Amino acid sequence: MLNVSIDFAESHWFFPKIVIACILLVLAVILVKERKTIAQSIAGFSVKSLINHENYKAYIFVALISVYILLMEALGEVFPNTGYAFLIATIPLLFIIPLLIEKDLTKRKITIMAINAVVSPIVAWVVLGQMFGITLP
Amino acid sequence: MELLSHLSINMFFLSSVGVLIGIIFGAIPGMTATLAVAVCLPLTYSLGLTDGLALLLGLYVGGISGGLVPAILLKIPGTPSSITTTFDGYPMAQKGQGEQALKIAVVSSLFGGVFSAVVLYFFAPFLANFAIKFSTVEKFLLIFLALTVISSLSKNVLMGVFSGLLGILVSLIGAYDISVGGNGEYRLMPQALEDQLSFGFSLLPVLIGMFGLATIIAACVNKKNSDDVTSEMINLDTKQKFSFKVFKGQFFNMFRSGSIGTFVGMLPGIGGSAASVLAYTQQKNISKNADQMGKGAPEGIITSESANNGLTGGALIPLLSLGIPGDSTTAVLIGAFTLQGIQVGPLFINENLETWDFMIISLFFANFVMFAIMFFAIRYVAKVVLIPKYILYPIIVMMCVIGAYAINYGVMFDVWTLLLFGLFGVLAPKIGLEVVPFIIGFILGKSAEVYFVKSLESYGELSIFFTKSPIAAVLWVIIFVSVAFSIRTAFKSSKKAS
Repeated sequence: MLNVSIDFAESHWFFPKIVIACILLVLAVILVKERKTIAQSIAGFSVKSLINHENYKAYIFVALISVYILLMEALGEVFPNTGYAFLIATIPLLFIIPLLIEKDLTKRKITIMAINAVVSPIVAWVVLGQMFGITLP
Repeated sequence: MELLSHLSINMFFLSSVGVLIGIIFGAIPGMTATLAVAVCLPLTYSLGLTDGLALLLGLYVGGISGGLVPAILLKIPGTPSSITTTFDGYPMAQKGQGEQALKIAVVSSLFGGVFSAVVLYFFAPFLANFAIKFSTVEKFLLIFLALTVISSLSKNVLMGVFSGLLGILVSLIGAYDISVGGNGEYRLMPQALEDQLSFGFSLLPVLIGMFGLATIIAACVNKKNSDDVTSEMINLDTKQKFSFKVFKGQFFNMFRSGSIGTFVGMLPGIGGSAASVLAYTQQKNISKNADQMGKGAPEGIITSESANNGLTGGALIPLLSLGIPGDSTTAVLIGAFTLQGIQVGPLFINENLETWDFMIISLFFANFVMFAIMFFAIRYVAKVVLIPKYILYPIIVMMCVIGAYAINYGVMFDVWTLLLFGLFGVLAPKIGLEVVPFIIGFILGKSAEVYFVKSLESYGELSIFFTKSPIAAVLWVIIFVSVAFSIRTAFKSSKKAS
């Protein structure tokens, strides 16, 4: 019963199946042991708990990074192997991110954010891209 | 001496820069040594292995040490490992002894770091030489042991186990690599992503996402009006000057706390907070001034900082001798070796003696640079906590993106991976998943598969995992002890809850 032979053609599924079986077993134990907590969470679930005034900025951030990646890909077709796609796309990103994080905005803070948004990508492009030769989009 | 021949201006410079950046990251609440190492990791590709390691080890030591600054001045641990430093450091700062408290902590950090570096130097080669004799059976059991230990010390044992298994499953996504005896077939992924995921998810975008980007996403949901610190909040009055006399009678405390930190660091997946809490609890139990601890007793700071810096060398022991990361930061350090095409494990030290010597010197040097910067420039270092997040966080996002993109010479899918695992790093704790077991499972999953399958292909029966050798038997004993410990802990805490 303890003898095991592994069919080479199906060997890519041998270990994953064992791991999946273990996951399902542990999940079953968790569902039984924590059934009351899980039932309460499901009962208390609403769209408001998913998206509300406390966490909507996180969704905006994720959408922002997605747009940023797509923009870099598109600009990379226009300016291949120069790092300009990174530079052009990163400046607006670095300006918008602190607007999501910082609650109390003042003129002074916005000015510092704008300077940081321009200077930091340029410094990264020069130091990392040109001096260290690190591949930039 | 051959050791001294490895010294160079580059090494001193990069180590010092690493320590300084690490201190900044560690001193700012919400940022960690792991984040510092993850963000700076891509730089090491252009630096080469030894220079890169000098930088990263400097970041590690600086990052762990930097956490003491806000812990003492603001009662906010800069890193999780500085939690117990707040117990006595903050009351001392409130009494006008802020600078004294900071300097006591810095000296204790130096002791803990150097002590653990000495243990690393002597113990790691011994462990590596022992582990060389391991067959695929023992190697698989070692990974199994690492995962049971991590899971058993999680907040919720079952979720720790589940998270570790999930990490392993995610690591198996992609083609079953021909170079390790696989058949090259794809699994656990849609056909449309075969080009992007043929080698699975890259380690570094996953790590940078979960430890770096997740921090920033979490900051967007922060409920507090403002986390930023103003200069009025830090108190560095010098009512009492620092004197080394405060360490009189504290040698055994430092030695014991450093030992606890080093030993806890050796246990895979356990962080600095466990080391400092364990050491602090021990010291409180045996101290003659136990009633003073928690109210501004210097021995509380000495205990905490000796233990949490003792972790630095300790966590490198399993990494360099067994290929198993001791904590989340050393998990990221694996990436530095991966970048250079070097595999850490039992053969690492013997096959890379120069690199090993270099790492030891870098670690010692980083501890002394940390001491010099923090002891003599503590008033300036304290101002680091004033750097606003709206300047730092955008820079961190930018470094995360660069790091993820550059790892495989410019693959945009890795940036999507960064975003995906950044999201996962934020959502996982909300549904009870444990991040560290997941990461350790992800790092060790592929190796676990290789050793497990090769053991069965060589011996043909499952009983070999129990009968192969006395080493296998000992490993099983330790596995059962850690499982029994976790069941006992879970039983005790459910009793307490009811």
